[in-house]
Amino acid sequence: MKTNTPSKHRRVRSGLPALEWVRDATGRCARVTAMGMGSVLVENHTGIADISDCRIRLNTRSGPLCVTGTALSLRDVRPGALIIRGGIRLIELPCEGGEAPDEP
Amino acid sequence: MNRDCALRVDCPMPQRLIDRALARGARLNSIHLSGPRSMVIRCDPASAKVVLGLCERFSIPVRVLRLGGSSALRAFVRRRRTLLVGLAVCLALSAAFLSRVWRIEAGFSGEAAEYGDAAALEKALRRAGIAPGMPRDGFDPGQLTQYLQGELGNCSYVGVRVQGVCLYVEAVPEVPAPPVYDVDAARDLVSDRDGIVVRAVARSGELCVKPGDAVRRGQLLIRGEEKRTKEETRPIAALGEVVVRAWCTGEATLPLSAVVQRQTGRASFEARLSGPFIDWPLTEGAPFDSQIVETSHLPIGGLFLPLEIVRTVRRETRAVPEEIDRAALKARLSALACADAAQKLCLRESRDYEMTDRWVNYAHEGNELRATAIIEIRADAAVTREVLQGG
Repeated sequence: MKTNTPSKHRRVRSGLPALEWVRDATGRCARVTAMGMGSVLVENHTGIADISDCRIRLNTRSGPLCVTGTALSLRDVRPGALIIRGGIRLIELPCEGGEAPDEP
Repeated sequence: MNRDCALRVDCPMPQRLIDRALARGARLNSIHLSGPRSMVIRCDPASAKVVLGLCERFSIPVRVLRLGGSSALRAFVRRRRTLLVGLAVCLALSAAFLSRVWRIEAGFSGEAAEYGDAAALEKALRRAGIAPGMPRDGFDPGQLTQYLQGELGNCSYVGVRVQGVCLYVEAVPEVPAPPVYDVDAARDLVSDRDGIVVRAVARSGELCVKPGDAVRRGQLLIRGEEKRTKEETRPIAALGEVVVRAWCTGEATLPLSAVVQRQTGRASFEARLSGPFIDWPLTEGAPFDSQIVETSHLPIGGLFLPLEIVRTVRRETRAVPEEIDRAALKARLSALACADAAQKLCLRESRDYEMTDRWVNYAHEGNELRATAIIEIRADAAVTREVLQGG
């Protein structure tokens, strides 16, 4: 009789690392790019949840993304993409298995 | 030109407004949070219109900080509408000014410009209705040219030109015709003065003198006849010129010495007290036959007592003849004699002549010096007998 071992619940890694680009190409996951010390490019977000000069919270399909800092401002705000500028202190990324919040 | 618009939005939930604006196609260049409920949005004019529409729909207070694009142009024009009116008025005035003739320059040119009648030209222009301030298209230059040619009559060319606000009228008077001789009217040419022939040219008739001949006044120079056959001649009008060398003299005379009064050194003094009602001699002095008298007044009483001493000094003189400086005398005589000769020349010569030389001779005559100025000229001496007799 076979017994369930923990190895069965372990996630299976893709055998082909090149297939990681497929997820990027589909454009469904959020992408955060820090440019230097004062700019953060956020792509594929689904909306702005909260905005103040010390914290900006964005909705993504994976969960909320929060940027904390001082004198924050938004640049080049487009549907699904924006740049956060200011004194950036902390970027809180959504957990991989989190639930997406409701659309505003 | 910066086409960005700046909007200040006071919104309790700015994220909602931004999401709705993005959903409607707006593109926001920057968002600055100036307070917990206030933000400044910079975007293009189309996106600003979207944001303003949303703010109006949801009654969100918004203030336009800066406009761009056509809206900014409209606002600028609205602010500067008086400038536009001023420019329009200026343009209208300029157009009205430039559409008229304000300056008229009329004149004569050409070889015979001095024969042009400026008064007649001005009168003709006035009759044609040409005056400063008239419209530029109020006359036809071609017709005006023909009209002026007809009015002036003696002009070979009339040009009318409009340049800017100026009207230029240029007229060229006709060159007067030279005198015409009737070849068949028989006449001789004689000399109108004494002289020596320098050049002799006969255009018609027979030349009777040659260069180097001395001619007298009235002497025949060109005979008015020509040979028809070997034995027969016929009278014609003599034509030609005989240039002679002639002289004109002027004289002046001045004495070589002059009498001057010299003081001998003897003098007499006389003084008297003089006032309004008093004349009291103080000293007596004898007069001389020839004397110089000097009188001086010496006041002694001032304003309230007008008394004075009148002092008279008589100095004896004697007439002494003295020689005048010869160089100064000659210079003065030369000027006087030349002036006399030039005056005679001007009175005598009515035709063109060429002055070739001038000199002065001096001669002693007793106690006087005589200067004779001689001016040598070259002139055409051939005239008709009628002219010679008529003066």
